[in-house]
Amino acid sequence: MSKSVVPGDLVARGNYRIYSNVIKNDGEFYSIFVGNAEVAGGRVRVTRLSGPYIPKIGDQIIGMITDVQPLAATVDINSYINGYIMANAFYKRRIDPSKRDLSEKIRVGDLLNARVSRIERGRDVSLSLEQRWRVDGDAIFYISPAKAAYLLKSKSNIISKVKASTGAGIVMGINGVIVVKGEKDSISKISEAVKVIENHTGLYGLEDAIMEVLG
Amino acid sequence: MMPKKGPIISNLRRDQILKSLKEGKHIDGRDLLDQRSIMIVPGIIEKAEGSAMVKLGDTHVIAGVKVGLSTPFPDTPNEGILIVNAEVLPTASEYQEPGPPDEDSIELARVVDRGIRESKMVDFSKLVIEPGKQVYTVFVDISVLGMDGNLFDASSYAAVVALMTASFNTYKLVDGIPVKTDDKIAMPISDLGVSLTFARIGDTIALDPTWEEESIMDARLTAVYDSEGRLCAMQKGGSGGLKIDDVFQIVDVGKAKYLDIRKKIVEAIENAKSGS
Amino acid sequence: MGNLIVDGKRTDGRGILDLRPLKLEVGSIKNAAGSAYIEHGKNKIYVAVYGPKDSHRYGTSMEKAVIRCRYHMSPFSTDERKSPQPSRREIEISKVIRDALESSLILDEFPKTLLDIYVEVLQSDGGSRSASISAASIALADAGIPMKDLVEAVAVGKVDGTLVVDLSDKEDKEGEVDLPIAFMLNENMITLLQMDGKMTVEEFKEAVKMAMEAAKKIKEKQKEALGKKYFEKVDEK
Repeated sequence: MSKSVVPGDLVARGNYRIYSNVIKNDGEFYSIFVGNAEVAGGRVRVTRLSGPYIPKIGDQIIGMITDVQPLAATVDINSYINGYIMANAFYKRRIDPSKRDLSEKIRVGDLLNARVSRIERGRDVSLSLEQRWRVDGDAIFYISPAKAAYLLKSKSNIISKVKASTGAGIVMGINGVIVVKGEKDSISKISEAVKVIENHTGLYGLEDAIMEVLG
Repeated sequence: MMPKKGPIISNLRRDQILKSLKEGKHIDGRDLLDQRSIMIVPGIIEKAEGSAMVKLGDTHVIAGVKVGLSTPFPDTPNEGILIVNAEVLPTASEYQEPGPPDEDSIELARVVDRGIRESKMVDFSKLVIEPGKQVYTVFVDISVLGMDGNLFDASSYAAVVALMTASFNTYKLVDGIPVKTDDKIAMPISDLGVSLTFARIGDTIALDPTWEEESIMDARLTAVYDSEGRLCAMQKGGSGGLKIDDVFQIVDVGKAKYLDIRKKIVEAIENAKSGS
Repeated sequence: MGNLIVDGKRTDGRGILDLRPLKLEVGSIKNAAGSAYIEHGKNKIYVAVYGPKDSHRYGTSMEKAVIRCRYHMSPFSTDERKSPQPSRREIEISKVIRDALESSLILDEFPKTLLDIYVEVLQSDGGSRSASISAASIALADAGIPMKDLVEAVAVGKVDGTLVVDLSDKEDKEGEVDLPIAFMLNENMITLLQMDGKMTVEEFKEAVKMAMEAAKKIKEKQKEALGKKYFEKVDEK
């Protein structure tokens, strides 16, 4: 059972050891976000409904190359912090920067499928490349990271359902970036679905609303 | 708009200060609710109509009063004008760059202005040459020469003393043109606003913070009291909050202490008069 | 003087504890990370929040996000046209608003970043800095900035010797005391406090308590505004 909360709302009282997106004050837990609060299984949790993408280790994201240097590339990961990838990641062997030019492999504007591998406070986030790291498609969409996280973790497998229903190839990062490959009408269906996602109030019923617009 | 300029306190020093405060003392050994020693020297700038130098511990401030002429503001045709400006001079610290007043200096000037204006210490109705046409403008300019915290109180005391000891030649209108006379009048003073600034550092409330204490403080509260102990201006500063009970405690302490400071101010002025 | 309160009613018909009509909306500025709009009395104010954003140029901190706040009045917002240049008053107000909001925010998640709060006063009517704070707090919540509590602000004052809540423009100009206060209610904290005028220490304490009651009403409006954008009609699932 979940409850709508705004920052400062009391979510729970008690001896909970595991909690997220709340602050604890003398055995009382208060929400720090606008979101849905859940108290279950000994945990107190608020799922936030808005806000920037906050990188966590292991996150699979879609990023865009914004700078190519001899030893590394800078990646826009749709967050308040950038990502970077060491040049070596793009080659099968260790490379000598004086002999290889990273800009042969990648260009500014390229999209890639990557994973957050290391986070150091105040520094760009370190990324590792997925097996098939090049992301190619016919259209790109952005949705709020809060909703992206919800859809990716959805038990109803909504993304597979959308792929099946539209016939499009979809790659989605938890940072809210969606890349679609398909025919014109597949893409316009996905575009409708994205509008529904953005305009839908909250998370409840979001999957149903998406399937409804896809027909 | 820039991040706070000031000493970067080592963690060791920060802990040292916090420990001292928890034990009931400022880092310089004072009790929490004691002010540093105040030195007040009126009349230090002869060319100004009024002036005062104040040293509050190592915070060193000079206020100068200049009187000019202007047309009155349309909504107060029968009153003189007050303009307060403050500048932290590059001499004040190694972190102070020359330049136009930043948000801190602007806040300082406006808070000192409020203390003067709202305490009604200057009778602006007496600063009129011709109602609706020509009035005196009182410029109070504050220059901070040395920085060791609590610019609010130091600047306020300097401004107040400069005003209380100011005198200027009157003007009269001759054929519509202001002409200086040989008559000198004293600034018309009817009250005195006494400023007291407190800092909250962690759970401790302390009066008259030093610069180091200010750089680790969570919030500050300045309160100005008139001769009857009424509050006439207040300003909370700092990016932390103040508990309501702490605010109430501060205004009570201020009310208990303002008379002492008022006495010091009045004494300094008396001594200067009899001395010269 | 002596005609600002007649038979317990103020010049605009309100009782001494009544707030002016208040409308709050969240999310109208699409490009912003978060936004809000407030109408309070004749005040019409937009707040847009941008960030946190990566910033290596501007002075940033390894500890937490650095906040900038700009309170700006449109030239047509006041009776006399106001120059678009930032005045000293606007600079001071920008600072105190920033301080009022920063107390509520949890910023250590975002080192080396910048968070910008833009307050645009389209029409001003007494108590604009208080209205700005109440709106900015929900704009920040809309932007998903973690915070300990919402912040609400109101100006209380003294008019014809009587303490009143939420000063109108006329009361602000002709009254004896203007006392804007901002609260974080959960912790009984004050995050903005300015005062000019004359009042005894007892009157001041009474005024603070009255302001707190008004802040509770404003918080209800803030929650409604956020609920309208984020929560479905069905609350419990």
